[in-house]
Amino acid sequence: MRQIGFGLFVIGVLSLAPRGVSAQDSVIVIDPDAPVVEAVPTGPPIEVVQELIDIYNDSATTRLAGNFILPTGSQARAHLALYRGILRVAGTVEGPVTVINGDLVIPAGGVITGDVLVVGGRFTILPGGRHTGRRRVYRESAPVFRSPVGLLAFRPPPQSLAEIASARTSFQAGRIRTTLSLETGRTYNRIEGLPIIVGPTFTLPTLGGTEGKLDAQVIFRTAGDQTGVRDEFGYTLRSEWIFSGTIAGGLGGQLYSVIESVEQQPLSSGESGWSAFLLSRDYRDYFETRGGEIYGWLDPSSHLHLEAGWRRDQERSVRVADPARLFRNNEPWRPNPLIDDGHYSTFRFRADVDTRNNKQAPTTGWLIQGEIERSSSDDASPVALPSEVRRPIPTFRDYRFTRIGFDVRRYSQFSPSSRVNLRVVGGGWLAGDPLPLQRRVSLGGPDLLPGSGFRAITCAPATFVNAAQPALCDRYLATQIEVRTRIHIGLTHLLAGQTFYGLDRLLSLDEADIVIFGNAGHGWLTGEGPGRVPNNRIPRFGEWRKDVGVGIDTGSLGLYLAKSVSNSDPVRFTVRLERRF
Amino acid sequence: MRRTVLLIGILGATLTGGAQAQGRLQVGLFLTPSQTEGGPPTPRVRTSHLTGDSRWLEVLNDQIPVRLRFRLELWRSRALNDALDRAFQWEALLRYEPLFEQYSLTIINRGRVTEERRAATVADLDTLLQAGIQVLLLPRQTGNFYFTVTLTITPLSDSELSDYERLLQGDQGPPTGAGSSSIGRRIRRSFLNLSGLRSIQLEDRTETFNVTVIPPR
Repeated sequence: MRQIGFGLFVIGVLSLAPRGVSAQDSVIVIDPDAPVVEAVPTGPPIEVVQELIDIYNDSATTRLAGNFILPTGSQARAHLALYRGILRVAGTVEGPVTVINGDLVIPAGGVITGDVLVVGGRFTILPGGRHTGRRRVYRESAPVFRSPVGLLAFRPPPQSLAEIASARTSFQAGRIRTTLSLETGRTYNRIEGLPIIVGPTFTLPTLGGTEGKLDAQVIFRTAGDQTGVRDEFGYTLRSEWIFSGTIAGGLGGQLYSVIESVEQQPLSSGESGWSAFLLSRDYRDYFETRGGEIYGWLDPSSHLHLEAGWRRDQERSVRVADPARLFRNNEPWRPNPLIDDGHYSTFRFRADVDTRNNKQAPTTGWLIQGEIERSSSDDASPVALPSEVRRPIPTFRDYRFTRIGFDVRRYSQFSPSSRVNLRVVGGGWLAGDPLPLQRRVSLGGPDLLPGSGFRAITCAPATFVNAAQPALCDRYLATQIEVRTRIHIGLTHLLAGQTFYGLDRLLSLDEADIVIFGNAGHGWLTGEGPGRVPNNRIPRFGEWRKDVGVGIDTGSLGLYLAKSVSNSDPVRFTVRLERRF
Repeated sequence: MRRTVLLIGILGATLTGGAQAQGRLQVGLFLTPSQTEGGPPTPRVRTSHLTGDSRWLEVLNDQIPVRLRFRLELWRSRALNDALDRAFQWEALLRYEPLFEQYSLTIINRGRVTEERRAATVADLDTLLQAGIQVLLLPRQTGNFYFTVTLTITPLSDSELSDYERLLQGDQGPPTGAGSSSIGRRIRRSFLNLSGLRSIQLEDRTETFNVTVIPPR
């Protein structure tokens, strides 16, 4: 609300023009690059708001609400106070007048002989009207509301939907600013249920525009673990030193005990959470990691982000905790696969190049993300896997492996309403010993290959049966292409002004993209031997899984039909809550 | 059968009326040359003859605000495919204020009221709209460019109207409840829907221009 304070001030200045003003035919100028004025306290002073409340609630005050006209010839000898409306004084008022979040107008013949206080509105004296007395006008509305008993009270500031789902309060002691927060982990899974994160963040501005930050959070897991293997709560203790300027960056360190997912696909964390909560379909696998990390990052330009870190942690298998779900309560959860438990030391490096014109709905630009990590362990206890999948992990020396991941996206627009987007994503084993289970990959499912079933490619031999369907591949590579055409739906207009219970806004039904897409991808075991692809090769394109499809994407809801062209799988219907990529 | 004929009649009248309205109304995109030789011109968006259609005027005079939603796009002209360079969107709210017997044009930029202009008569309002809005959406690199503009004109729905009223009042609190005018407005709106005056989309684009110099801002 405060953001519009300045705008209202502008209105206030401009609206002082008298009645019958001619059109101001000077050109209106808008500068899109002008800095956005952040929320600043521009409302009426707190003492004025308190004065309003005192006046309105005073039993001697004549209270009005809504539009009110004091007719010509009538006379009022009282303190008039009007809340939300227009007070038009065509008669005579002998006494003060207060208008709260409304306008005061004195037309021809109207007289006010007393102090006038208008907050959140305009005070207009038309020709022939008269006012004697002190005049105070505040264009910004007063943060007050009228209670059911007719008295005014302070109105707390409104909260956004995200804020409603979390609570946050800040206070300052000396130079240290403290923020206490309570929020969800923004996901839901079959291991933790709904993680709830609570804790303070301390921020200390230091010399040269740098900033120190200490973040301590406890993660409460709403789903209890009956096996006792997993802790009932997790934590993150993070300290960062951040500098900004021409080159931004920072250094940090953290101690943590959190639940991590094995792969970041086939659905985003939020979508996977909704799927788990509503339909008992958790598309991800998880493990617990406990340890510490030091890291640093650098942003040499607005398009480039570099990050490196070293961590030492203990990674452990966790079991399904059977949290509540809305539907399919009788169906068992898919088991969570075991991982290769142990202590791992990992060095990682990440580089991002992002030239997209819009992060949420890009129409042009590149997004290139790459990450490489080198890990070692001296006590990894591997899960027994078929020899076709993995040769034994060494126990007479440190276990070492290197893994890589990349995601390259190109967004381009061919006309104001049509776009073509391309994506190449892949990753997996690069060097060293075979990957542990928690670093292996798979393919198939709503994101990369929606025409194929969940984990259609796991690289498991036919004889290997495991209800958890673990990802066993060493590498994967997938490409996606989509053509988007923007169409005008205008459902809000077809609904003839009905709000459609707010869904029209949620689903952005005014406009949508028709999406025609094609995907191809493959996951494989690398190395020498039958059923494997040599390390320096990728499988022939003819062996890849491919699908085509069509859908409609409203921005916050996407409905897609996809058909595999590699086999006779049926047409699959997918609902997405985010853009495909 | 009788209902079908009636519906076809209404549909025909709607389409005819819509076509007439679109024929008079137009959005124009004009370029103001740069003071620097080879510099980028500045686009100006003009809306013409909005009040020339009596139905839009009736809508305004019936105290139903009209929303003008502009989207200005700067395109880089290339050999194979053109590329969207930048885009900017803003809204203008057109209202008649019976208390002051004047029209007002409120510019809403990035969710905030940034400017308000007033006009005493319909002719003044037309002058105001035709004076246009200059948008400093300029190329940041040299090359060949052109602008496109899309204008969507819509009578506000009740819920949108409520939101706008609260925005203009600087109030985000709960509404105080529908007033007596709400029922009348709903009746008028149902007539609007029958007459097809729900939404009109207009477009325009400039010629391609060449930018060889980017002056410092």
